[in-house]
Amino acid sequence: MKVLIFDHLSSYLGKALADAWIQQGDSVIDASKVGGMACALKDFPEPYGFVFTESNFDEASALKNCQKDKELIAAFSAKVNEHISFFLENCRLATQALMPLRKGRVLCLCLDDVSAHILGLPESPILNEARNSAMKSLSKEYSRIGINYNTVVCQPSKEMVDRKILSSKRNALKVFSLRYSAPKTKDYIGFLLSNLNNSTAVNGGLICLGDGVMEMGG
Amino acid sequence: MINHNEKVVLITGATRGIGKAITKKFASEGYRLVLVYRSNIVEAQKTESELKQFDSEILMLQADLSCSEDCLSVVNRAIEYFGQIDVLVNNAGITSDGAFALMKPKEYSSVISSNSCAPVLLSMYAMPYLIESANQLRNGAIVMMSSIAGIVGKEGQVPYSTTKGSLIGSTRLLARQYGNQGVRVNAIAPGFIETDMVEELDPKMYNHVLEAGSLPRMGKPNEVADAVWFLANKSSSYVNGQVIRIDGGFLR
Repeated sequence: MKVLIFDHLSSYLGKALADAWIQQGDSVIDASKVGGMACALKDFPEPYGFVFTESNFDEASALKNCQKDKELIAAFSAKVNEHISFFLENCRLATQALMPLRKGRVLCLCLDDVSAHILGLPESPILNEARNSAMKSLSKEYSRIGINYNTVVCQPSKEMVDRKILSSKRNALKVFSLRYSAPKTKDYIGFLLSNLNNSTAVNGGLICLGDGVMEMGG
Repeated sequence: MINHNEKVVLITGATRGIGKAITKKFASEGYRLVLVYRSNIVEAQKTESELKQFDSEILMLQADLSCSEDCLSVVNRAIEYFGQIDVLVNNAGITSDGAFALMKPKEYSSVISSNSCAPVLLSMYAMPYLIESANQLRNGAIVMMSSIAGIVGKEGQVPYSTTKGSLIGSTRLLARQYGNQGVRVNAIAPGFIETDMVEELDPKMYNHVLEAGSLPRMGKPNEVADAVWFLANKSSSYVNGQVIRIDGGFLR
């Protein structure tokens, strides 16, 4: 049984991926429910891999709310610090756990901030870019011992967005494709499972999933 | 030459390497300067004396930008002294290199606060003045100093590249949020540039990088400064939320 450790399971895509992983007969650990990554690794020291799920920090709304309040600006910055520190610490623990096994997968899920911006969903460009850079650097440093790090950026799936909003934003969504159609969660999950189960062909990659022409930041 | 002498630029990490070249560029264009340095008073004095030839008005400030109070104090003191900020160049950055799996969080926590948080704090504290500058058609621009490591990653520099990546996200976020108020936010991603920091490295650390460039040499600080100048003035009035790579055509 392959154990996949998730940083938390409060995000939509992370939860869907965990469910699918369990359905295929394997096991997941929600680190946030067992006292954090270090505790999860005490109980399961030889995991198959790690998934860092989409950030739940809506940077755009937080920034908008703190425009003229100096204390809120400091709080916003502290939150950015906290999220990056937490992420790096989880990366470090994941890498330490996989090093002796000389194999393993680390997958970092991000919600595309441009489509999220258009659709009025939480957007996290700071954390997305930080995570992507970290995955690339880690891949350069540790792929030589068989650890595979990738970032997957997904447009919000059809199930994550109200149909009326998708319809009202169809003009703006033409930046991706003329007749934009939000991908289904199950299509994303199929790809993610395949990547986690089989593919070693991508390492250090930024994989963009969605309808039409997209890349990180647009 | 256009006379910019009513305008004020705030530059962090202003007394060494790329920051010093940026400072000289703005001084040569007639800007009034708020220069922020971390600790090296000798370099600060040296920079001040080198700038005398430009006859620019200078406010030199010592600050630890990993501390949010210092970020606020820098902006407040700049406003008390000059009454305005037209351009902010978030150039200061630090690094903590090594095998990431062996690092302890305290070894890189200051990298996060200096490289990821300080630019956001300074940008937000300075934002009302930058908006005012844009409203008065003076300027209103922020330039972030990211790095090629933030775009393509760099082994041995996980915390540094992570924070430089975060700056690309901050650039996009702030550009989206404040573009409609006339403030433009862009970033520069330099590759290997001839600075004290690089000169101290073993050439083995960067020779392979030079081999991967289509221009087989290191960049010069003034080549980065020219790009910062472009993004900070009205020649780039339709550029917002972008990252310009100054990396000699580095392939990866």
